[in-house]
Amino acid sequence: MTQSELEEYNRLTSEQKDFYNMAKRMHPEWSHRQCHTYAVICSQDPFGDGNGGDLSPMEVFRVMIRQADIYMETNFPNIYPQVKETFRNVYNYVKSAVSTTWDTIVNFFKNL
Amino acid sequence: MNMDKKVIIEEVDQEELSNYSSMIEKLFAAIFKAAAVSKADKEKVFGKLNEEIKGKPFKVAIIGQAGVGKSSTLNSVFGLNLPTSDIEEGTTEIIEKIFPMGDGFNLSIYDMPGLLQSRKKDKVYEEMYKDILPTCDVIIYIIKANTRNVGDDCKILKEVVLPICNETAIKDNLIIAVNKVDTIGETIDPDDPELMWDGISNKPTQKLFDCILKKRIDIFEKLISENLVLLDSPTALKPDQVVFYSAVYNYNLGEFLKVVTKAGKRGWIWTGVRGLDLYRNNNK
Repeated sequence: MTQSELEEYNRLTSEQKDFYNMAKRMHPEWSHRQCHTYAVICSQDPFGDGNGGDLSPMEVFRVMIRQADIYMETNFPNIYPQVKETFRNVYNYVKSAVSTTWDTIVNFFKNL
Repeated sequence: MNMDKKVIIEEVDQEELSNYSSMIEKLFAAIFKAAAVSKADKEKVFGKLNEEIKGKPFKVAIIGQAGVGKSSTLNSVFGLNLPTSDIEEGTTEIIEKIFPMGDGFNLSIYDMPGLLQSRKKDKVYEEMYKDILPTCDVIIYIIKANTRNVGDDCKILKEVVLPICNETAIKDNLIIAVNKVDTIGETIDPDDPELMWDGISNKPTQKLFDCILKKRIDIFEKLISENLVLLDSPTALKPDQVVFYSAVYNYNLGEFLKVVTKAGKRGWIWTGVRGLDLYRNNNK
């Protein structure tokens, strides 16, 4: 491992280090990048809480706001500084409401 | 965020908001009002947004071997109503289907022919892929979760699809969609009821869920081995460009929509104009 790879390895959680080492044992030919990716993937919860497979619409809405923010920054760099803070406030508001119901969004717009 | 900061958004005129039909327009209107953006700047942004939404269709290419569930995926993710036999296998032409989604927003679907049929056909199809894929906002490559061997799919991804995406700088538009997670148990023990889908709660049993998790890791292991999925790589996909779901049971479609939202430069347009409303209505 190079120094930067070692630093990256050290930043993994102990669970992820176990997965990393397991990957290296199963695939000695794998690069650090491959083992690192495997370790991170193995430690993820891909289906939200439990096995419901249901993501809150709020979570999707939050991602959409982030993408809209990037769109503004990319396409309107002169206007973006004016709205950057407001985008952040809205994003944080929705993030804080992720666990609540869709009514939060409805009320969010109603109360504007 | 301090909840009091909401106050700045509360200044938005309700009447003005009602002029905007999609969630995107409402969001931008609210933000612009709160940030006191000038009328001229607002018009500039809305002009471009209008062009994004109404000026060109949202283009989706769908790729996959026979029986992977292309139609059912389009139906459940994009709210279409295609018969499941609508997509013809072995077709020699690419059909673009445009679906008006209301308010001037159109969804365009390209059903791509499957590869690895014959060398001669593949050569023709590869040229089609080169023509079509770079024009698409989202490219969905579907893999069947219960397949014993993802080698063919990896080969197509590695030798054809991903190189086209990399050459045309649209790697972020590509999604690997692993469908039919509900059927994974059938390949292990078709007689074990604990490996069947729980139709009452519409989710996998705990035993099936454990198998889905294991299969997910197996598929990722193959994708990583082939350098198709890697973290921080300029040429491979990111792990969050891969989604595991069941189209027929509407399972994990929120995650699918999230992946579409992040895809390329225009994925969020679909979500903001139509996708989120669809998902919300399906979850009521």
